[in-house]
Amino acid sequence: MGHSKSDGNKYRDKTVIESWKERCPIKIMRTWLLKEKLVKEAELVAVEEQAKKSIEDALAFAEASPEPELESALTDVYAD
Amino acid sequence: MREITYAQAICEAMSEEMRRDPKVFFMGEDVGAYGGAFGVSAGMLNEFGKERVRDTPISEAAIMGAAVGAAMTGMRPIIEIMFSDFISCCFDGLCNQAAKTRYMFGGQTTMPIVVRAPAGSGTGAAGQHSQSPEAWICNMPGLKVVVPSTPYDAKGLIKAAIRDNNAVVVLEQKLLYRTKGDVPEGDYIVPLGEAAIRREGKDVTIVTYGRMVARCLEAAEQAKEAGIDVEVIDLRTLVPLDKHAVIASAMKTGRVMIVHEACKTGGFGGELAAVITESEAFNYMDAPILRICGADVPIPYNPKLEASIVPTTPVILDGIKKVME
Repeated sequence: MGHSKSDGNKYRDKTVIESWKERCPIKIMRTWLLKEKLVKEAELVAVEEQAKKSIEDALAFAEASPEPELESALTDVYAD
Repeated sequence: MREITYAQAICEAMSEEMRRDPKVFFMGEDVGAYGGAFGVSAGMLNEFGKERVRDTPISEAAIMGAAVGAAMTGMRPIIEIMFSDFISCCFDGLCNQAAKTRYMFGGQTTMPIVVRAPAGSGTGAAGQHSQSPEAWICNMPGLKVVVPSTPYDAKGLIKAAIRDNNAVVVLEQKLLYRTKGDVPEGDYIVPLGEAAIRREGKDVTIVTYGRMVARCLEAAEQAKEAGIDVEVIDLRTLVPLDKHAVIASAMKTGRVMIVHEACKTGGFGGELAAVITESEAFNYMDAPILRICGADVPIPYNPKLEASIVPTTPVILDGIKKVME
């Protein structure tokens, strides 16, 4: 991954990417929280499920919504 | 004649100039190994190697700064700013260094930089990847501004830009990259500062540039059915501006419409209107000058909204009829 997810992965080999994935701060934080017994595994799972659900709900809402009115392109450039 | 795409024409322009002159080199984000975000420089790394086709870090300020230094010390850099919107990240290098250094040092240096930057909406890339920023740049003495509308012009204008001793910003039209057209093999240039009359007519002049040229030509064809004979001028270069072509056409038709995709307020269309009214053409005008431009909003993400806020062929046709009233 160089510039973005769409750069075709031309700059780094996969082992480098994998080694950095192991250093994912979310993953490290999760392990640390459990090790220090600051949260229960079930609590973390609940947070993760909730995050996933809010994304799925937002996607479903967007897909079920009608196309916006063309006039809406002209609003929100400035505050009132 | 051979047909190639607008993107291939740009690649050919850069490659021919790099073969011709060892001082010319190319750098930008993803331009080498990836071949450019829009595939413009595909194959160039293989031909010219890493010294002359340089993948840079994601820092427009660094790319522009390096280009200014290289140009001042005798090289002729071409840089690609992946989206013209990101010129805002290197505004200091472009506007305070590249544009002014020659002037501030009493003409002791030149600044042969070509800044290639894809511009325009229509790709669903929203507000920060879709702008038409020519007005920002045209307001900066020391810079030249080029907007090619055909593959032929893209090659010829970029070759002219590379040979120019000033910083030239080329606002390539994203939606034209895949369009095909006749492009001669080998060397030719399209001089900076010469407009092209794409369609001759006697009733109304449309002054436009970039991807709006095709829409204006389409609207002009439709206006013919209503008995209106439209002249379409493609500016090709905004700075230097071919004032003569604009004024001569305005004097011929007496009615002028200006069309650009960029937003209207503070846009280049206002400059064009003023150029006409300040000239002798003012005495020949039979109607107020009309501007058909993008709405004064960021480019929206939704494709229908995006399409609705830039000039479309029907809107341009309505404009033609209005100017004829």
